[in-house]
Amino acid sequence: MIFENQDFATYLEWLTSNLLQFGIVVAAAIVLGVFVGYVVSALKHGPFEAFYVVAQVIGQSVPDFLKTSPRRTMAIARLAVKEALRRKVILVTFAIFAVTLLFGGWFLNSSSDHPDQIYVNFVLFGTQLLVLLMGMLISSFSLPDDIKNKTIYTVVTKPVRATEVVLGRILGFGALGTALLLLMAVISYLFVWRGLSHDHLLEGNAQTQSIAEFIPVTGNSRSAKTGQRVSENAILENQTNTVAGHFHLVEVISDIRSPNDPEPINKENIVRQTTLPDGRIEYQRVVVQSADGHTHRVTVDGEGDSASIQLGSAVGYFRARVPIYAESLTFFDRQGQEKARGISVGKESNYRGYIDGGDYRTRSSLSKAEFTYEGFTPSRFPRLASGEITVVPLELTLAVFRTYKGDIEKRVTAGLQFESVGQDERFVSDMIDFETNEFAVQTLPIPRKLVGKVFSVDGELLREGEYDLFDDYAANGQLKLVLKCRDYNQYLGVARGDVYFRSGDHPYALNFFKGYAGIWCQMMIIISLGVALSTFLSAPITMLGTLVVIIIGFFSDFIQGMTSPDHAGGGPIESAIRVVTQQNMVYDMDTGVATTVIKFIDGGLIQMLNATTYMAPDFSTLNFSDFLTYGYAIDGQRVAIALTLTVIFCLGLTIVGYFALKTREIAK
Amino acid sequence: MNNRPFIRKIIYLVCIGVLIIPLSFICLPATIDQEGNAENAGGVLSRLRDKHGLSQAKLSEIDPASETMKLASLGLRGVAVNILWLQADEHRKNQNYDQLRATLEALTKIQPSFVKVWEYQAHNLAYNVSMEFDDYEYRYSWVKKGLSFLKQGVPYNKRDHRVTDSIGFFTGNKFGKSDEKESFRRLFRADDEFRQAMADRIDPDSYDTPYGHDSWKMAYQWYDISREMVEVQGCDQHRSDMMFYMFRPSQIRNQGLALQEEFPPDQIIQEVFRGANEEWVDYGNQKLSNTLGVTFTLEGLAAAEDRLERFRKQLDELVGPEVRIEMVSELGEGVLNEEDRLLLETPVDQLSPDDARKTRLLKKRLADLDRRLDQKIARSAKPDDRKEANQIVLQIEEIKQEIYTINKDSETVNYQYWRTRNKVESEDATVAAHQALEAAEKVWRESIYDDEYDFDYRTKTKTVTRKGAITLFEEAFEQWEPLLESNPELYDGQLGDRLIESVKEYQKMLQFANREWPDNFPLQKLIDLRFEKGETDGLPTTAYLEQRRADRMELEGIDENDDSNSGSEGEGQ
Repeated sequence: MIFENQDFATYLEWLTSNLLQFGIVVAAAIVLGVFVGYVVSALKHGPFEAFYVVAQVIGQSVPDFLKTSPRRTMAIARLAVKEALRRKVILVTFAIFAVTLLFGGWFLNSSSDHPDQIYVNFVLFGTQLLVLLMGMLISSFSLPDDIKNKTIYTVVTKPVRATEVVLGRILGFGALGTALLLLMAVISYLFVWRGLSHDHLLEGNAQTQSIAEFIPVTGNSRSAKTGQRVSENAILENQTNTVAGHFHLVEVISDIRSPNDPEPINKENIVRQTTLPDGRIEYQRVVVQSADGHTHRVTVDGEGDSASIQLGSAVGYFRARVPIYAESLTFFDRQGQEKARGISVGKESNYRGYIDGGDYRTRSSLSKAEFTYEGFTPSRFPRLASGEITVVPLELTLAVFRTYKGDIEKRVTAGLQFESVGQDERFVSDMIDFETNEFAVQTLPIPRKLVGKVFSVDGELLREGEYDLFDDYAANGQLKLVLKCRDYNQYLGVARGDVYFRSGDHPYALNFFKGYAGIWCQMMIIISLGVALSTFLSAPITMLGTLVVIIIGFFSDFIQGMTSPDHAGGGPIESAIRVVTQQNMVYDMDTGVATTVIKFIDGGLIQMLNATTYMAPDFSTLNFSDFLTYGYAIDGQRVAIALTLTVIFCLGLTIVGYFALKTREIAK
Repeated sequence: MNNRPFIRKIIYLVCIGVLIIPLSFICLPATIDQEGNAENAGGVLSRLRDKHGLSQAKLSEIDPASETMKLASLGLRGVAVNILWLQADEHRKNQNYDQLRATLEALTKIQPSFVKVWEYQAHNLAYNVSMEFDDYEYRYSWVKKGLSFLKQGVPYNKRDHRVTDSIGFFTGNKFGKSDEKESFRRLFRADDEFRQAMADRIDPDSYDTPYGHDSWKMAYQWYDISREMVEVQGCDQHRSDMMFYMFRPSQIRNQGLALQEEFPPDQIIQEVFRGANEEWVDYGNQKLSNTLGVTFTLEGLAAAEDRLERFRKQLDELVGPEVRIEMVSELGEGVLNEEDRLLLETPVDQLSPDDARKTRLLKKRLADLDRRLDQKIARSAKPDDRKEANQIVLQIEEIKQEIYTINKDSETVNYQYWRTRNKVESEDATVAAHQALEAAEKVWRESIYDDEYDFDYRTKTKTVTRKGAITLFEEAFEQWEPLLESNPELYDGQLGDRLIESVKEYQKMLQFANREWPDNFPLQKLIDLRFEKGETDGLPTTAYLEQRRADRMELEGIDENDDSNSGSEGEGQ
């Protein structure tokens, strides 16, 4: 899993880093606007007259903007709503959406490993596409049709300002789009929930569903039923029936605790509780192993063999994890030297850097990845503070690269260590070794009390013992997590977003609607663009222009990839020649005048292509679908950034629309 | 002037109308009467579509989901396909494998009858994606996903055996030959869910064995479906005969080989090889054709050589037997020695089997020296007989072509080796030899190298109470020696490799026990042959042993010419 859509910058960081760029763009837009206005006016009225006309328009714009009446704007907005409803675009969009959902189930594979991702992607992409097209259609035709049918006179003969005409339309269409989007969001949520909900029964007697149906786990730690590995402390096993293309292994786990240890938090799944001769207590608990990204809650009624077992609905699909990411990630090579990036193992994606586990000659490889966390306090873990959990959940999504086969049935081992940062005494915990689980979100419960050593500033060992993760290791709110690969000749891949503490979960429904807020932002920009363009272009051209922006917005990464200097195959002409002559993409073309000319023209074309990507807003900043797909909470900072971008775009486009309308005969 | 646009539109309409008429004739669908007999064969397009099996109903089952997707793309199917391929590649690059799979499913809904899409992408899932996972259980799961994906393509391509062939190939090779084969086959045997998922195509009982459900036998069933499609349903065959008919029988042999690695040798595995032998011989007797139009059977080499001999005899009778002898003598000048010449001049029926083999090889050598020898001989026929001679030469050339094809194709599929191997593995003596080797390895794993014995001090006699691994290995090798000697093809290939591994362990044990390599080691020929072929097994060859003996004699001052048996005595000292 590569979740690249993580931006670790806060709202303030984003704003300050973009403010200068924004200022330059605004200044350039003003200069360009005035220049274009002057040129157009000069063609009509001559160069001297044009100067006065431009000055007059700019002069008039100030009261127009300042005296824009909300009442009149709302009146125009109401008109826009009525007009859009009359056009039935909204109805058709909703009908297509409904039909898509009705038949969508035909194409969705519920037996996938992560059906939740497929369902969420489907509804988000469908909604996004339909809403943007709808926004494009209602905004592109409105003004040009009014002008063509001369119905615009009924408005402009009234004391209405051009700002109100443009802004009213944007708000009206926006309000309608918002209502439709809300409806779609609610229906999509129900569709996803309905599509993923399912129940299982235990294999065996469907009536009794008791522990008697279970069989003992043999000594080889593999399921007698499926041959797969079972949990470490499993003593009995069974499996569920197959529903939605999957089944679960159900195990009875022996959980032995000393009398001083806290009791298990979840007592609903305890099937037997026995006090052992040495005084320890054995809790036999029924657990459902995860399959296809979810598990099921177990409720045990009664005790022992006669206890009946009930499996609840799916748990784990609808998550909105709140991660606490590291502030920085630093790689160190085998010799312990700091490196900007980890080792590349030749993967196409450079998302992760790799650390190595040494080899038989360098058994103590110093290669490691260091994550530094800031503001690491117990208050950031509400479930820990409330006593709901006694451990700190650490989640990892590590990649593994093997350079030799090794023991095929054993996963590569990684090691974790916690260290204090910037304290007078240096706390270093003992290494916690664990088996990695590639392509899955792996949760490690880190106990608050960790055995470790304390060193002085000079590196002298002061004492050893058990120290508190928050009060000792992260006494100043800073914590270092060191990740190492513990198998020789094997590598671990990691990125900054791969190792995080899970603070808790946000309500999924809220997160789902935040995801739709991203689509709302895109819709508002498209509507604003459509209205702005329609003030000076005909309806089909406006539609085409808006469509081009949508396409560029969707494929900007692809286009930028094509225009990057290291893109194989060259520019459009060179590529065409390679296609016709069936030349390899990485083989250099023969040097000569022809090649130089081709490369020169290609360079120009590539620049033009690249420039087009700046015409459209970066939809990836406004797209939160990855958060929903992979089950992460969309933080408020991200939403605030998206909303700010949207407001800026809408305002900018309103101003463009205003001036364009003012320059038209009709607006005078 | 104002009417011009209107007139233009009318002209367009008329043109459209005129074009519709021939189009309607070309596309006219076939009609059938109530009894299902064809009343009208339909237009040219319909007939062509029918002839090449291109109508949707013939190509595949009509799937509403697929048809809806095609319709929904509003004629932009090509664009949609391109976008989906790009998306699939992006998901693969970003390792979002679930979304890759979902994209592939959408892709195949749009291109359901494009076999290469199914093959390529299923390979992507079963091979490329599966190996990305560190955990072998996930790998196994992705191999299954590749297979399940490919199986979805079967109803869409019900007249194309390449899909079922690929499923057979993936099933056999991924589960049975990959690095994880041991784990995969164990998971496969326990995987009831996968069996049920495949049950609509392959009956789970059909690949159930006393050792559990077998992946190789399942692969056999998939190839069986391919055979049925071609032989019974008359579907087009997309591979050469040699390859198409080879796949199915190979799976049984592979099953036997896999079982040999997984379980102790027994009658069940012997029975599997017996079945493999029958299937392989059936394949050898199957009439095959190649692209040059040569029809042959892999078992037909001896018969073809007999026919060649017969026609050559006819030709010799026509031109006189001395012509060939003279020409061969000329050809053999400087190539043949006296012994060779004598062999060539001796009538075939008077030759011993070994001499007959040598003669055949000699003739082949000579024939290779001059491939037009028979034509030259025919040219020396009398003018009256020349026509007949030329006809005989034509027959000879055809047979030579057939022999060449048989030899080439036999080599490609390693026919003779597997024929011998299957036959030998299905014999009791081989099972006993395997069991002996297995018993020796078991004791070796217990690190018991030397014999355990009781020594009676009174009678000074030793009674072996338990044989050590060294003795057991030697006994096992002695059992293998006659098997290899009577089937020399087996010196090469997998069995030779397998035995050499045991011999290496035996060598290590000798070193550990401070004992010398025996002079009369039963599998010495195997070591020597492999050494000659450039294998670096690190085992003592006969030449090395002789040198060692000579060195020792020199050291001990014994004239080796005096006593040829001094080697064993020397070792005993």
